[in-house]
Amino acid sequence: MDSTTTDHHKQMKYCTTRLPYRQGRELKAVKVYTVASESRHLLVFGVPRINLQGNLKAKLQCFGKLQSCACITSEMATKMELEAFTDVFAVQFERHEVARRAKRQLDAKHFYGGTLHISYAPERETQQELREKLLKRSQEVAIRTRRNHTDYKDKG
Amino acid sequence: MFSSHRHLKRKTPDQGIDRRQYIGHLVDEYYTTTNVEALEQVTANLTNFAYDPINWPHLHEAEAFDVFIASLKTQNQNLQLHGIAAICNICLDKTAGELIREELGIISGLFVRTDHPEIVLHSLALFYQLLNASVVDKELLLTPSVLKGVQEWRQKCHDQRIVKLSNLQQVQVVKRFTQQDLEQFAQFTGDHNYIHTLELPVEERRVHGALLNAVVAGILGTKLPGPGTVVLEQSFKFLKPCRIETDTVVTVRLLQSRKISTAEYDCRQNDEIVFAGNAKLLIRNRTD
Repeated sequence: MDSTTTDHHKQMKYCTTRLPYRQGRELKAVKVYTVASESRHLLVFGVPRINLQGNLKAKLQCFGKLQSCACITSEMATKMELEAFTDVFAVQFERHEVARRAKRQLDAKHFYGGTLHISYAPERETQQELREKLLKRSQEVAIRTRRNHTDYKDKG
Repeated sequence: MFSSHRHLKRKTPDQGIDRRQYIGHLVDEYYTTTNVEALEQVTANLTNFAYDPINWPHLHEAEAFDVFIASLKTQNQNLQLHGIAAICNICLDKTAGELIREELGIISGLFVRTDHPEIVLHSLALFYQLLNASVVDKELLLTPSVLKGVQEWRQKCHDQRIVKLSNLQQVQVVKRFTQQDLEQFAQFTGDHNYIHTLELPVEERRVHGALLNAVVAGILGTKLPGPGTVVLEQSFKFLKPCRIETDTVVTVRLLQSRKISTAEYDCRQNDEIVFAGNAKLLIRNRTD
């Protein structure tokens, strides 16, 4: 039952054997997400160790309100293998949609000579944040279900 | 991520297949392929589609839920993982709810016997959502083996995601204090303050504050977090007098679960809070 708590941060390989009809424009790994996987907290790996905290913060703030951005390389180095000469940052956004968008748009992108790898970090949530996240999921589902139904009716 | 009908229409190339057909193809491929990688790829694809409600009608039309259940029954841990995650994603849908109730044994069976943390993670998220939305009966889902499993993962697992999810439940106990309770408490503690005795008419009489706190402590020490808990610090307020012969709902909720955890609690009578507070707790396992 002893699990490495950083397994979900390891970068998975892209899948290259998909049948053509289901190969999208971008390569993606075979990975599943649920409400338990996502979070307002992200870990950003692969930031070159040349004093880029300010630049990273600026880049992240473009997506929305950033609550914190801290360098946690020393903490993570004991738990998992990190790319040499890179830092890892723990980032927290105010809203889930913002974190989602930042992850999607910045993952695997170049950043000052390095390549970023971003993953959700739900283990950094407090109990209260977890409760709110689950509540938010049920609210979003209700809104979407209603909206899809009216959209569908309007399509005629 | 979520999509709208308009967005999907824009995304699909003119010669391409639409979302409904695509999902149908994925389900077909699941049943026709013999390639293990392909099975894992299509189930992951379906699972991630199950996250967005816009796909739910298509998934039901293609009977994707059967694919999810079939995946749970395989020996392949990746397929099991995709299956349980899919069900977790779709569980708030009405139709899915009925199907989940029918297959509850299989779903909880996987949770009880698995050793894969990710499967446990999504199972717990699924159970929490099912109970919160009253999709299943608490007694049907939380069987002794499921509860034992949750307890074990909470205590032995170092994965904070799992620890937090297994601590999410709040405990509610309904207590009804009688004059005899007050007299016994007064006898035991020496608190013969007349405000708790027959000297006052029953509408003005109040339960000992310390007795309320003791009931909360009882929950902390037996139900949530449970045996081994040591209270380090407490702060509480008596907002209104607590009356006897009235149903009192005592709620305990865990806020933070680390080596030193925090919990909050309150007592309500007639939907009004009479007593509220929070505590810092040290949770020790019997082996510590």
